[in-house]
This record gives sequence, C-alpha cells and structure tokens, in this order.
Amino acid sequence: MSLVRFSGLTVSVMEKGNEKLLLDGISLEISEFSIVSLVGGSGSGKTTAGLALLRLLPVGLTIKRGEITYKDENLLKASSKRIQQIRGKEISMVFQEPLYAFNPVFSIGSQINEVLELHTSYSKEKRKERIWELLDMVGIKDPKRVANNYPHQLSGGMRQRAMIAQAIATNPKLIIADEPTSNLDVTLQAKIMKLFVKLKEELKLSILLISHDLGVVENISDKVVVMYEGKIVEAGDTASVFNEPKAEYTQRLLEVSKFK
Amino acid sequence: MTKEMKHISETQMAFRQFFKKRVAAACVGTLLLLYFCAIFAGFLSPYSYKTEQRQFSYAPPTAIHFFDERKLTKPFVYGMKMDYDEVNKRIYQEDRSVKYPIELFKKGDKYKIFGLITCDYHFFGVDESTRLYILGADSRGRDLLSRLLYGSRISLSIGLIGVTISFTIGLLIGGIAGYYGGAIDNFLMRLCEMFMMVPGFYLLLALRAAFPDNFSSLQVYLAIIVILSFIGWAGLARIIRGMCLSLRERDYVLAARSLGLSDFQIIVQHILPHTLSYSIFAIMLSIPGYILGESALSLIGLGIQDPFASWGNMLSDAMSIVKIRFYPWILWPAFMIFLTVICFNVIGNALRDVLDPMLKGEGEN
Repeated sequence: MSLVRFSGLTVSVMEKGNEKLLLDGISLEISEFSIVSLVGGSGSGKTTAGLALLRLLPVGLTIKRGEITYKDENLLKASSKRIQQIRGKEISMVFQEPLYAFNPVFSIGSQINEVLELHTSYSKEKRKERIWELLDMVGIKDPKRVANNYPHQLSGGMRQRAMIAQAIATNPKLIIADEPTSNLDVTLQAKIMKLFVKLKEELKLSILLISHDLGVVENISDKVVVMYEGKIVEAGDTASVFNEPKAEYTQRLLEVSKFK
Repeated sequence: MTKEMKHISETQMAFRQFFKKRVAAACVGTLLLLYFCAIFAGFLSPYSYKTEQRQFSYAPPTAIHFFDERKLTKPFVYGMKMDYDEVNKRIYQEDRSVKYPIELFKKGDKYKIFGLITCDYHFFGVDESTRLYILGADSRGRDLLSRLLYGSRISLSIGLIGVTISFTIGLLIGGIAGYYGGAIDNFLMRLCEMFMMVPGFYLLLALRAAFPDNFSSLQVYLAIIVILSFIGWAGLARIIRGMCLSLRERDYVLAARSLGLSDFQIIVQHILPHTLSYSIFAIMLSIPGYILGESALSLIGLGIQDPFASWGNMLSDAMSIVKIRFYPWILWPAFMIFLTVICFNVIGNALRDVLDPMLKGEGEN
C-alpha cells in the first residue's frame, strides 16, 4: 500500500528575474514498510523533495504544480496546524549534520523530551524512561549518561544515533533521512545503515533515504530513484537499477561508486 | 604531585571569572545588602516613614556617644535642645543633662512584616521622650534613615519589576520580528522607532499625563512601572531582532520545525535562549534607567507622593540650594541612587566581559 505519493511535483525559484525549476515534475511512491533511496548529485533537488514533503521549503521556493499525498491526504492543501501534527509524529526527519540540527544549549534528553511532550500524553516519568529506551534502541551503550549530555559532548556517530532516536520517538510512519551518513567514516556508515534496516523491521516504518552515494544505499534499499537536475532519470527496484541501469547518468554514478 | 584538574561547567567558569573581579563582587555584596534592608525596612528602621515631629524640623544627625566620662559604655545619645539664633534660624544642641541609651529590639511604631504580620519591635531605638536621627531629619522632623529604608523598597523594586516587564515585551517582539521578517518585521521595527524617536524624559511626562493625577499611591506605583516598561522595550527589541535574523537560519530551527513545533514554541524555546548572554548584561545595565526614571518622576512631583517615601521624592526637598547649604544630610537619597546605579553598572560591565567572549579585553575593570 502506498504511504506517500509525489505526483508531478514542480518547485521553482526566481533567480534574477528568471524562473528556475528546482524540481521538474517529480512522481514517486513510497509504499509502507519499505526503504526508498533518492540518489543524485549536488543540486539535483533530492533535499528539496524531502523538505517539500514536510512543507519546510525555504522562503522564496514555491510549489508550482503537483501534489504530495500522505495516506490519501493532500499535504500541500493541509492546514498549518495539521502539518504540525504530522511533522515529528507521523513523518520525521534525520539531518545530515546532527551537531547543527541539535540545539547546542539543551541536553540530548531534553530535546527528545520536547518531541514526546508535544506529540504524546506520557507522564514525566514515562517520558524519561522512553528516552532511555529510545537511546538504547539506537545502540547507545550508556543511555542515562548520554541523555544528560550536550550535543558537543558526543562523537559524530553517537550524535547521529541520538538524532535517529529523536526521529523515532513517536513511532512515525516515515523517516526522511537526508544524507544521514555523509559526515561519518565508512565503518560508521555501514553501522548506521544497518540500524536503519533494524528499525524499519522492528518499528514497521518506511524510510526515504536521501544520498549522493549509490554504494551506500545498495544493500538496504527496496527501491532506488535517481535524480539529475530536478528530474527523475531512473526509478525501479534496487536490483534492476544496479544490474541494468538504463539512464546514462545512473551508469556514470555506478562507475564512480565502484572506485571507492 | 600535580593537582588533578577538576571538570567545571561553562556556568561555573563564568561565575569564577566574575567573582575574580573584586569590584564587581563587592557591588554584588552591596546590592544584596541594600535589597535585604529594603525587605526588612520595617524592622531595621527606628521609626515609621511617616512619624512626624515638627519641633525637630531639619534636626542634624544625632551624635552617638560611646564614652561617658572617658569610660567605655553602652552607646547612648543625649537629649536635644532647640533654640533660635539671631536670624530666627533653629539651632539644635545636645542637652547634656539627660542620657538615653540605645536599646536593641525596642518597641515602637507598628509595621507589617511582608505586608501580613503586624509587629512593633525595631532593631534599635531610644526612649520615646527624645528622637534618634542617625542621618538627620527632614522638614517635618521625620527620620531620614527610616525614610531611606522605606524608600528603597520602591526605588529598588521598580527597577526589577520594570525590567522584567519590558524585557518580556522586548524579547517577544524582537523574536517575532526577527523570526518572521518581511512585513511583520517592518511594522514592529517602525513601531520601535516611534518610541525611540521621542526624547525619553518627554515621553515619560507625556505618558504620565495620560494617567489621572488623583491616583492612590499603589496606583501611582503601578502606573510608573507601566510607563517605564513602555519606554524601555524598544531598544532591546531592535537588538534581539537582529540576533534572531541570524539565529533563524540555523539548522536546529529547521530541525525543530520538522519535529512539529509551532512558530511560537520555536521562538521561545529555541531562538531566545541563544540571546540570553546578551540579555543578562543588558538587563543589568538597564535597571539604573528605571531607578533614575522613577526618581525623576517623583522628583518633579509626578511620582510617589508624600508621605510615602521614595528616593526620588525625598530628593525633591533638596531642590533648593539654600537647603543643601544648611542641611546637607538631605542629599542622602542622592547618594543612595548614585551607589545603586554604580553597582548595577559595574555588575553589568563585568557580566558582559565574562559572558561575551567577543568583547573580552575591551574596557577592563
């Protein structure tokens, strides 16, 4: 069953009087309990697509045409109150650099607590236990200590795990992971990817994985969508995209990832 | 053996750096003492702020004696004699025939502790047949020390309450303007400029004129706070707005939005805390403005009215040069204002040095 569907999404920006299309008629479908990877180079529009899904596009970017539906609800027409309910509760986001995505003046625990306070009716005690449980779930060994730590006190890998813990805090249906591993070393990349697969199976959620590296997403995605300059150049099952790439851009990407 | 380095937090470090500055630490001590005295003014002052004794108009400070016939005794005062000189000016002299020891926990005028419990014990006092004027008396023979203590309640509390109100408004308006930008920003900033454009003192007078002049003392007190807060927020709002313009572009603001926080929650919980180190010293540096504002209003008779005491309205007595010439002790309230303002300024500057690393090294004290 389809969870999220983009149909003909077109996003534009005005640049020196000329209209430039950042996304040009994107259509893709994320079905339940699946990992869909959105792959493309810088400026291909993959992050824009992720932000558009939560209606978080920066000021100046306008959605010209198209629809984004979540469980048959058109998100582009939803009230801002409804969108706030969906953000963090139904769809949450993992950012590229958790050092900046966490507020430096609050502890990790209090920032996870914030989401729980907003979207659940747990008591204070229950929330505390839930925070420890979440940190444990993402593979942090000492959850009670880490909950009291500030973002800068953790290593890059730990921070990304904490970010993921925050994203899954309210059992969302979909996580948008925007280049979650591009600032981590190769061994950590593999660990975090494994964590995503584990969480997908345990929590029955879907993941929209945004990445510039085909090699990273190969083993875990169900579906791969390749983007180039705001257009989808290739989409299909992981196996078919990797084994018989049709578009020239996909072939180039594959060649590059082999060098690594 | 080397001593092991202890782990200390940022806040602890700031505290240590702050208290290394001796002058600033002394100012904190002074202010704490002043606020303590203000809270327990009823107990610490020998008389009530309104007990008059007209025959002792402008009595000079009473001399306290520790030696009686060259022997150390309990501190005591002599009685007071009043006479007229050749131009009918009153002269007060000690009446050496009677001695009154200074007694601790003396019963006297009634007052209320925290406005609730009635009590009539004073920390010290003398027998009712004479008067103890440690700092002298004013035109109606009221004890200056007692009035200073009662007056400090108003003068010191107006700063704190006023700053709380105007900073709440300033932070919110600055936060909203900076976060949303565009037309909202434009509108709010033009509003600020309207307030900043009018010279402060005239704005103060104009706003005071908007309130009726037959207010009760409590109403006047509240009106002054409202007026002063109304003037104070604009400058802060502009600075906070500038900070928020840059803070809103941070990733954690986007992250907070992606978690479903409302704009208001983001402004209050995620953006404004980052302006805290600026706000703290800005608060300290702006409190004197409120104290001076209250004094100015009371001085020209638009603020706290007699018989209630505030440092400002006590000073209105000192507006004539002749009185200062003959009764210099009526300048005590001016000294108290001076002391308080200096303390807040020194603390504010020290806090800025400690909290704002960018400014470190500029202006040592």
